[in-house]
Amino acid sequence: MSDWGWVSLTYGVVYSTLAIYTISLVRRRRRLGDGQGSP
Amino acid sequence: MSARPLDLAAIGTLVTAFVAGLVVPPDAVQGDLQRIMYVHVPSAWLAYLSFTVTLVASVAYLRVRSLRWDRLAGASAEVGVVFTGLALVTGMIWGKPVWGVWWTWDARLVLTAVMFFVYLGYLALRRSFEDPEVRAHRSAVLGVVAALQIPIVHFSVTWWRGLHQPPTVLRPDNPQIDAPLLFALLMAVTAFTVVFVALVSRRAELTAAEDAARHPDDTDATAGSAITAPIVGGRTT
Amino acid sequence: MSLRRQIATLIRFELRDELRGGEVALVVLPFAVIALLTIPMAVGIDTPLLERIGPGIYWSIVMLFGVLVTQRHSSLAPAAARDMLRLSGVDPAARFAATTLATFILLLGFEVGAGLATVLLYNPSLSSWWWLAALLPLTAAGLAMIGTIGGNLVSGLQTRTSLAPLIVVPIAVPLLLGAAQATEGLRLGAGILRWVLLLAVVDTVLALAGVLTARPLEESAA
Repeated sequence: MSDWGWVSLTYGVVYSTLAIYTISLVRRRRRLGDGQGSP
Repeated sequence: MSARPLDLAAIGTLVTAFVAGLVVPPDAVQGDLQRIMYVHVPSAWLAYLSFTVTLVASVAYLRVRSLRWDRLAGASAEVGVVFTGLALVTGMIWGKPVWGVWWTWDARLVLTAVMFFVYLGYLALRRSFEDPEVRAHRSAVLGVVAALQIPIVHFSVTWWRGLHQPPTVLRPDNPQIDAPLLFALLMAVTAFTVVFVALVSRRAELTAAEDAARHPDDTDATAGSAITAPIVGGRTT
Repeated sequence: MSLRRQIATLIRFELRDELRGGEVALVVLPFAVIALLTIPMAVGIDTPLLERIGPGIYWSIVMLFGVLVTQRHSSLAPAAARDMLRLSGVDPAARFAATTLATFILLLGFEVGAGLATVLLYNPSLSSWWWLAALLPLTAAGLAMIGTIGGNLVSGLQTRTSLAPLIVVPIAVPLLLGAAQATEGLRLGAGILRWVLLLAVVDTVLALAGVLTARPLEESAA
């Protein structure tokens, strides 16, 4: 694999992990918000 | 749920760092592989920062007994585990083209791996408790004990690997680094730190909301706040 | 009752419970010996290889199965007994010391038993074996302390049998490294003082941590 291939793989892993984690936080919060009506 | 200034700052700095990492010229020695360092180094830095925050918050909880500190400790540990995992994975991906293997018993990699599992255990402990107070107590103790052990683990692993140091020309953080590359690196570290703060803030808030949902009668209030002024003539004040 | 007598009495209780139940001698130690048996089954019975890796395998087994010793049933006092101890004014630090010392004694016995099995099965070289008189107690003490703290952290939980090892083992890594590098040093005829020192430092830090955290843990005990 070329150097840029490795770089792309790395960036892909990092940014998708951060995105997935952030989205999961938002979804969990939203689910709670629906039930409780908290701010 | 609206985006707050902190969230916007996180996204903004992250995008800037991302672009900087791609636009900056390749390193003289490592070539384009150097760009991996723009995500690896910040992740590793955050791994250490997050567990320091957990230590401080754990000690603070044990002294002040405010659940706010416990929530900070837990949030920092969880986000820290994410970044530690990323540090490990990016380190391994960097190592494959450079050293030819996915895993080497490099002292730093081993230490990072051990830290990962220490705090995985910390999170597992936190998940086991329903009662926020018990969770806070137990986690705070583990947070302190674990943090006390980390420097010792560091030394023991470094001594251990020091005996079998392979000749490595390429070290993950080459101190001789050109100005534009250094800028990209610092930009990345700053961006990741802002992201870390934003995520920890959100995570702590989520914990507070979950606790409130499960224990609607518990608050952070101290004993005595349940007592209100006597009702005189239909008014409370 | 003075602190020392409190501790002595508690140790007697725990060891007596253990003698009645026999969990360490009759369950955990045999389990560890079976583990020692399975490794040559898995990696092959090449004698020089086994001689070489024997000591390392031994310490790994001690760490992993020693955790089970620290989580034995007799060390996890039921809630009623705990409450009674607390009400009768037993110092939490004394309870920590007592449990740790009882565990230390049992771990020492466990290490000797597992050690004999390792010598039989792996035939490692035993030059300067007298250093073991320092290594065994140092590792047993460290593991006992981490195990006691770990046991207090997970008390009352359903998942404690799997959670305690997960918490204890990563923190015990310095003990493993110190002991394994020491025996490796003995094999090569090199100096091992730094590893013994490392073990001593680990034990000291753990003792401090255990005593400092005994009271906070007591408050949240199940």
